[in-house]
Order: sequence, then C-alpha cells, then structure tokens
Amino acid sequence: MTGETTNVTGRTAGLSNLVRIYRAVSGEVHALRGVDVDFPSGGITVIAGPSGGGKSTLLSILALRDRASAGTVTLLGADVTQAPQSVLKSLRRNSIAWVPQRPAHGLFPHLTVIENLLQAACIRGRTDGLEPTQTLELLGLTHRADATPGRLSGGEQQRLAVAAALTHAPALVVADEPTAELDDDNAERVLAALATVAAAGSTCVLSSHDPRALRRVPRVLHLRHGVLSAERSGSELPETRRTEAVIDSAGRLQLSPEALNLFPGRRARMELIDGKVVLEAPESSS
Amino acid sequence: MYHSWPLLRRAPGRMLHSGAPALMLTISVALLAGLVAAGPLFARATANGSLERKLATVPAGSQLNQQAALGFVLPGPIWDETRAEVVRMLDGVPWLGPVVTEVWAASWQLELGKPVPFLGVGDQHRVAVLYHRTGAVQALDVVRGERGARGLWLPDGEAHGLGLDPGDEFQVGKTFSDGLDILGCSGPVAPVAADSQGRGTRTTSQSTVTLAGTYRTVADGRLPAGSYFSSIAARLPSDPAGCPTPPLLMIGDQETVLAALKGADEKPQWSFSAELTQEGRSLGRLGQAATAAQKFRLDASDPTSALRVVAAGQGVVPRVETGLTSLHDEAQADARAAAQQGRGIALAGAALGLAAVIMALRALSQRRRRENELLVGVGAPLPAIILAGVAELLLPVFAGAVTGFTAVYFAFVGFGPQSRLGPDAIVAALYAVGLVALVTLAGNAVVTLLQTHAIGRRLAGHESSRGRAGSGGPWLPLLLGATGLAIASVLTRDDRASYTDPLAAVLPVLVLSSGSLLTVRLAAAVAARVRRRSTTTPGSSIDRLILRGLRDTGLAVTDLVVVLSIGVGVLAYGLVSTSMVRASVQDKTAVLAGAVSTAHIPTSSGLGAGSGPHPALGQDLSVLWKTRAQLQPDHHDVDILVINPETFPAVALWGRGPDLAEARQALQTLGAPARGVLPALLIGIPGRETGLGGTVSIGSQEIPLIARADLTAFPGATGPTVVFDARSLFAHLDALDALGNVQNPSLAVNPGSQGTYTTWLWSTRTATALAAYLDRKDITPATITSIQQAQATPVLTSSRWAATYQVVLGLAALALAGLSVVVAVDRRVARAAPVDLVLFRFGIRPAHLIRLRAIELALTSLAALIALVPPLALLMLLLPRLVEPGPALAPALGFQIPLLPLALSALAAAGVTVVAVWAAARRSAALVPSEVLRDDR
Repeated sequence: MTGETTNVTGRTAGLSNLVRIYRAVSGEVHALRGVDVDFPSGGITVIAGPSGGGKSTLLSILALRDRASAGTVTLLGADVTQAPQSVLKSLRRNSIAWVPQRPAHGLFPHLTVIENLLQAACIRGRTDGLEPTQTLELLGLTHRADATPGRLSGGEQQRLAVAAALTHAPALVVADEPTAELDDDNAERVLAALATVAAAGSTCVLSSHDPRALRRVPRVLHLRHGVLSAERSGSELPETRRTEAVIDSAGRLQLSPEALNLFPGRRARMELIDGKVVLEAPESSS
Repeated sequence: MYHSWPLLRRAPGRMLHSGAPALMLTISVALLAGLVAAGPLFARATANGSLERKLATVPAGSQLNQQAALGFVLPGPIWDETRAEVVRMLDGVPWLGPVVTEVWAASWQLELGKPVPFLGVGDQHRVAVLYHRTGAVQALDVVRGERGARGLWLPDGEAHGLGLDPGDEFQVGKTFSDGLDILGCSGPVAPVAADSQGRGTRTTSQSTVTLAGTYRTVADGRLPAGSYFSSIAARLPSDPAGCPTPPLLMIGDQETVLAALKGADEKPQWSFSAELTQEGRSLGRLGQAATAAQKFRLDASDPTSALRVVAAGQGVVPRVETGLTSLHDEAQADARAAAQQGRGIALAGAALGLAAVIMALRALSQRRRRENELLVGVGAPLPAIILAGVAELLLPVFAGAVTGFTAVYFAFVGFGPQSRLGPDAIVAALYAVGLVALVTLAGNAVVTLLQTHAIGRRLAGHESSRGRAGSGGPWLPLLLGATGLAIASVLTRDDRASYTDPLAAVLPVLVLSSGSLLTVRLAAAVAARVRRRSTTTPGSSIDRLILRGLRDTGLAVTDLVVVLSIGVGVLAYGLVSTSMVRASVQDKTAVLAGAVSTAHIPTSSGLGAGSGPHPALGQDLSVLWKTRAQLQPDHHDVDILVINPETFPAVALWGRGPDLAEARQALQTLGAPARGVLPALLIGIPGRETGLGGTVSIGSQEIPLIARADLTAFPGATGPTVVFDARSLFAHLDALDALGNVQNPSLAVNPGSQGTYTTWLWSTRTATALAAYLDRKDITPATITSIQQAQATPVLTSSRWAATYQVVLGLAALALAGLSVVVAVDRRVARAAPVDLVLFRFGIRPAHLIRLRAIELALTSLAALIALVPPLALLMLLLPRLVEPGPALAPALGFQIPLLPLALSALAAAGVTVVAVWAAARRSAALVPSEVLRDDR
C-alpha cells in the first residue's frame, strides 16, 4: 500500500466493528466498543454525544492518528487498519485534514495567518480546491492575515485552524469541536465553509455539542459509551420533547442530556411566563 | 523543493524572538565551544609560556651554546668571500636577528709556540689582544677621545699608565722572544724563544696603530663597563697570560683591527653569531631555527657540507655553537608535560560543556514537541522537519560558538599562561569551535529524529514506554561503586600524583555526584520518616499550603539540590585546589630559590662591611656559606648551610605553609654552643630526632652537633641539609684554627683561601638590582640566580596553570548548574501556572508568591550547600594526593581549609539563587490567564 488509493466504493471512509481499548492507571478503558459506520463521499457528518463517549477517539482513528485495537478502517477504498507508518503518514499528508480540539495545537505559532495557510498548502502539495486567500475570506480572517496566532482571539484561532484544514481540502476533513468557541456568525461561517468543501467533494466529519452544528448538518451520529446509539439527520432533531425532570430540595433542576445540550455555555435565562418556567440560552435571546 | 515553505524561510530568524530558549542554547554552546577551544589554546599558551620562562632563565653572559643563538666559529684567517658566505648562511636561518661578527687576535691559541700578543709604548709592553665585535666601539663608555675617531681604544687606566693620549701611536703585535718585557696581570710574561718554534718564524711582528681614545672598565680594570660587555663576558677571549679576568682588549672597528692583525702577522679567530628574535620566541618558530641549527651542527662534522667546503683550503675547520636545539628540546618537553597536566581537565570540561548542550537541546525539543506533533500529524516529510529544526538553531549556535571562542581567547590573552598564542593555536581553536557547532546541529538533528520517530509510533498506536513507571536502573549503586574504587585507588597509591593523573580531574566529579546524591537521598528518607511519625497536623498557614503546592509540580526539588550541589562543588573544588596549589608552589619556590635573588660571590670581605660571620650589610642582604659534608655514622651526604640568624629571616623566602613557618620559628633555637656541641637544624634527614646529637664531617673536620629541630623544609635546602649559626660554627673553626687545622671562610680574602666553602649573598632585591649592587662594589659574581628561575621549574609552572584551568572548569560547572536550575524553575513556574492563577483569584498578591518562591529557592540553595559538605570535606582530605605540584619537591602539600574559596563558592550559589528567582518572577509575570486556561503554552 503506497498511500495513493483509488476510491471506487463511493464512500470516503468506513469503520467496521471498531474497538479501541486504552491502558490507564486505573485499568483498561473501552473507548469504542464495536462501531460500524460509513462516511460517503461528500457531505458532512457530526458525531454527537456526552463527554467521554468516545467521539475524540473515533475521530483520531478516522484521521489515522490512532490505531484501532480491533475492527477495520478503510479509507478511499483501501484497508488501512494495519498499514505501515509510512503509508499512514502519506495518507495524512495527501488525503486527510485535521482540526484539533485545541486550535493552538494545529497552528505554527511563529508564522502569520497567511503563512500558516501557505504552509498547510505546501505540505498538502495540492492545487485544487480553495486557495489560501479564498479560505481566509470565507472564514473572515482577511484583515488578520499578517497576525501571528498569539495575537488572535480564541475564536480567531479556531477559525484559522479550520481554514488551514480547508485550504486545498483533501478527501477527508476531520474536525474536533470546530465551533466550540465561536459566536453565531462565526459558527455559521465555519459551517458554511465546511459545506462549501463538502459540496466540492470532500467528506467532512465533525464532533460537536453545538446545537447550531447539529441543526445545520444533514447527518448526526450519537456516540455514547463507545457505541453508536442513534443516527438521524439534522432536520430530524426534535424541536420539542416532553420529559420529566427532578427538582431537589435546594431548587436545583436536573436536565436530560438532550435538554442540557441546548445550553452549551451552561448558563440559562429563566423566565416565568404564565405560570411556566421558560429556560433559554442567553445567546439565543440576544 | 522546500524553499517555498514559510516554515523554513522563517526558521533562521525564529530564535531572535524566543528569549529564554535561545539564550539557554547560546550560553550552553558558548560553554562547550569555550571549553573545547581552551584545549589547544592552553597547550599552545603553556608551550609558549614554558619557552618564555626558559629563555628568561638563560644566564646573561653565558656561553653561546647555552644561549638562544647560533654561532659559527672559524679559528684562523679566512677569505673575504668565505666571510660573506658564512654570513649569508647564518642569515638564511629563520627567526634569527642580524649577524654579529667578532674577530680577535688568536695566534697565541692557534700557533705553535703560543706567541704572546702585546701592545707596546717605547720599552713598555703589556699583554693585550686586538678585538672587534659588531657594535662594541659604539657601546664603549668613553673617558677620553672622540667617538668616531679612527684607531684602537684602550682601557683608560692602562693608557694613562703607559702615558698614552688620544691620537698617540703605539705598537701592537705578537712575539715569541723573551727579549721583550711584557707585563701581564700578575707580572712579566715570558714568551717561548723563537728558535725552538720552527724555521723562518719572526721573533716579533708588530705594527703601529693610533689610539682613538680610552674607555671605562669595571673594577678589574679589564672588562669594559656597560651591559653590552657584561652580557658577552663569557664569550670574550681569555687572557693569554692566564689571568682570571678578561684580557686587556684593544677594541676597534673591523677595518682597523684587521689591518692591525695583518700588520702584526696575527692569526685571527672569527665568530659569526645571531640571536633568536622576539618574533621567534614561540615553540614552533624556535623549532624551525633549532632544526636549521642542528643541520649546521651536523654539517660541521661533514667534510662535504657547504659549511666545511666554504672554509676548505684555508686551514680552518668551522665550529658550530648553539643553544637553540637544547632549549627547543627542553621547552618541548616542558610543553608536553604542561599539556598533559591540562588534558584531564580539558576532557572533563568538554564533557561538562557537552552535557550543557544536550540539556539545552532536550529543553528545546520539549518546547518544540507540539509543533513536531503537528508536523508529523500532517505528514510533513522527515527531512523538512529536521531541516527546520537545524535552521532555527543556526543563529544561536553561531553566536554561542563565536562568544565562547572570543571569551576564551581573550581570557588567555589577558590572563595567560602566555598571551602570544600564534596563528596555529588560533586556527586549531577555530577548528575545534567549528566542530562544536557542527556537533550541536547534528545533535539537534538526532534529537528531532528521535522525537519524530516517537511521535510517529504513538500516532501509529504503539504505546510509549514513558508512561510506564521506570525501574530507574541501579545508577546510584553503580556511581557509588565507581567512586569507592577511585578513592581506594588514590589512597593506596605510593606516589602523590599531580594534574597529569586523569583521576585528578575525574575523582572530584565522582565524589561530588555520589556524595550529594547519597546525602540528599538519606536526608529525604529521614525527613519522610520524621513526617510519618509526627503526630502534629501539617502546617495550616497559607504560606505552607502554597509552598506545598509549589513543590508538587512534577519536578523533584531533590534533583535541583543535587544539580546545584554538584555545580557549586566543582567550583569550590577548583577554587580550593587552586588556592592550595598556589600556596604549595610558593612554598616549593621558596625552598628552591631561597631568596628573591642569590649571588655566588668570591668572598664576604669584598662587600666592604667587614669580615667575620656577621658583616654589617643592609636589611635586605644576608651573607651565608655553603659546603658539602657527610653525616656520621652512615656517611650520609648533606649540604651545610651556615647562616646569620639575625639577618637571614628578613631576606629568605618563607612561603605560606606551616612547614616553612616552623622552620622560621626553629631559627630561634640556634643558640650558643654548649660544651663544644653546636646547635643545628636538620632538614630532610630521616631517622634523626630533635634533641639527639651527631657528628658531621666537613672535609677533615668533625663537627659535633645537637639537633634543635628536625624540619621538612628550609629556604634554599633542596636536599638533606644541616643549618648552623655562622657565629657558632666559625668560632668553633677558629678554635680549631688555633691548632692550625682549618680556615674560617668569613675571614678569607680570596676564594681560594676559604677551603670547601662557597660564599653567597642573598637579597630581597631583584637579580638586576643585586647585580648592580655588586657591580658598584667591584665584585664579579660567579652566578646570580633569581626567584624567577625557581618559578620556571616546569612542573610548578604547569601545575599552577592546570589549577587555574580547574577554576575555569569550576565556573563552567556552576554555569551549567545555574542553567539547569533556571530551566527547571522556568518549567516549574509554567507547570504551576494554573495554581498561580487560582491563588491570584483567591487574593494572593504576585509579590507574595514571588517572595515564597524566593524562599523556596533559597532553601533549595541552602540544602545544596549542606549536601555539599560531606563530599567536599572528603575531597579536601584527598586533595594533596590529587594535585601535588611537583611531588618530588619539598615541602609536601598539606591539608588546609582555605576559607576564602569556600566563601566565594557559597556566594556563587547565592548568585545562582538570585538569578533563578528573577527568572521565576519574569516567567510568572509573563503568564496570560487566557492562555493558561486554554493550556496554550
């Protein structure tokens, strides 16, 4: 296997019966317990679920930054589960773009914004897709082209990390929480940019708690305790659901996971309206 | 291919904005470059220094074969063409100055019958020798006559006695006849009659010359006054009449003297010589001159050589006289010994510097880890990753290499051992520094390669072994074992070593490392046990809580203590050993030299201060006598030193150590004799104790003595010696003299009348000043020695230099330790950043935190000093066995506790602490809360 593959299956990547077990001080951790999923060419998929559910592990394996303990990983039609390091390295360079959870980990601190993108393009060695200047414009960073990452805000760094992944985007873009620190407008830019590259043929796989992402993307997979528990399209995300919640003697209310996901900032505005308590996220009311 | 990469374009200038990492790397490379460059520079400096000292100790006025010069002696008449050719040959020898020509009348040495050379005025004739030397006429101290006048110059006293005035004519010639009444220094000289010498030989041949003027002489009335002539006194022709003084010289320019020689039918002796120039005073250049001189020496015995051929057919066999070859051989041997002294230290220094660079590279690789993870993660080619890392280091490595070389070069130029290093040494040092730079860059490439390999394996799912708890390996027991073996080796050695022994450089580091580690581990174990048994609750003050939090940042305080302890320890060892070696060298010099200057004079009565054992001289002068004797009953050969206990203490050198101090005290025990037994001090005589009697045989005299002290060292006593008070001994000799048996040397009026004794004048003046003093007294000393000659003893000189080098090594070790502490503190502050942030939010002021950090660092420093005490104490006990300068010379290096070096070391530790506190404060102030919370550091 050389790292250059020909995809004849119509899917960019696939995971079959994927298991990942880590050895920790406290014993073994079963991060993934048999995951089966395909990622067809083009399109955007979000992996959602609670913290510790295995999202980052799944994305790492998909991005060839980790090895499965068992199961099969296919990429561009080839089985890469046991591929040697040289092949994995070549695939990471040519076929996969990665956006880390901490954006600073994906940037060169001494290069300017535009230089970071140029460097990503140089390493990728591709000429198709978005040019660096186009990516900058798409993500609203043109005016910061000459700044180094240390002078950017957290949100700008995150957009830059996404921009580096989308410049001359390869077949597979894997992003871990790409909208976590972004406001609505910038989150929308990022999602729009991802949609652009997806439309051009790249497959985008994200992990996210962000309801904006969950609503926007066509495909959402729920990963809980290392197992895919549900798959639905973004449009199928219920606007309303009725559940019961417990109020303790101190007046604290425990929300269900789905409800909790509506408050990514873990702050809520509470209104008493017509004898009802209405909770909404502060961002959504501004 | 990679030229368009922004990463690579930015790489060379990146370190300019990196602050601490760039500084750390620059300093460590400067350390390594300096310590490596010091090797060839030290070797060259010691070589040139050895040569300088050796050349400085060549006695003035000595023969040509002792001097740094080359001379051709051609006894007999030679053609003008031969003269020109010989001068040309001499001119061709590199690094020699202008050729000096000498010619004098030598028929009395070269002709059968030994005709007597003379000057004559009427019926008066004196034994006199025609003489010319380049510059001699110009150097004369003119009494009468005009400079530049043609003719010959005579001593003023002789000219006056002969009734000659400038412009008068007189005869010069040689004679076999006894019809001439020729006066020598001690009466008429009787030439051999001509008819026994061969057929056709004229009895007397002479020519008429003009007196150009008269010149001043020294007290003997013969040697022309002035340093020009005193410097060549040993090379002047000897007196044809056999007088101990130089002959009466008729000095003139070459043309006048040659004409007079021809007119007198004299056979000349020619001498052509040239001295080593100032530029030639380096070992390499002296070697070139010595090689040429040696060739000429061989040529002199080869009839087919150009030197022999040029004089062929003239009845002259050239003779080569030179001290260049022996001086070069001795200087080379000294240089090798000196270089050997420094080799062990140089290797230790290079290892230390390499450790500094490795530490810096590791720290840098830690900082670059995230970036390399990014690069490996995106599949960047390995050559590009390594190239980026190497390119980033170009500037600090170059700056460090230049700084290190420049610092060590100017250190040698400023502080010696010798400031003139020569282009060879500089080129060698530059090569060494270049190698350091290459090794550093290559090392960085290797570190990057290993790191990317590890990252690649991790990305490929291979678990790192770093997470597993390491067994640590049996390093401490191994280190302790090696140290124990080394100590045992030193203790069981018979001879005392010097810096030539590699153990001298390695053992201190072993002892300090293992001693500090052991002390710290024991202390930690004891503290843990005390804490477990303690029933009191842990301190609840906010300061204690903060300190505990500061401790638990993943970096062991004990490691800091050990590193600082070793660094300060190596510096302390260097300072202590230097102090002790210098003191020992001073003591041994005192024993070798005796006094600042000493002169072997004919008799003490010539000093004009009266005869007897205690002549009244100035406070800075003391007369003493020496002879050889045998100590009964074993006929043990000893030197006898007869001193004036009143003037001797102020004039002799007493060094700094206890042995010579004891000797000085012992002088007071030289009281009056009792019942004919003379009190004496015994030096270096085994098996003799204080209070015991004995007998020493001086010539045929048996001198009874009682030992008032049994000493190990005494000024001027280079072997087993017995010291007497001059009054006691000479009174004893006077008593014997009444029986007609022996002379008292203090009463002798000429050297031949003082028996086996030699008279010496010791002084606190310099050798030059003492020579001038004796010159004013019209006393010509046989030799004058100076303290510089003793100081130039190769093993003492090289030990002193090696000790200084040890200090440099100590400073480098301290710098490395300081660097380690600062780097560790920097990392600790970085890791403690979230803790700091929380503390700030709880209301702890930054100044309070810095004060607590300063206290913690001060306690760390104090712990390091305490941990240093046991190993350093052990080292000081072993020190005399490690670094004795000149083990064969007395007195032996004894145990001392020099306080100043220890205080300086403690001060250095305090300095490192202050720098670490500053670094911590600076790092803490640079923290940005948002970055800390994002963990974007």
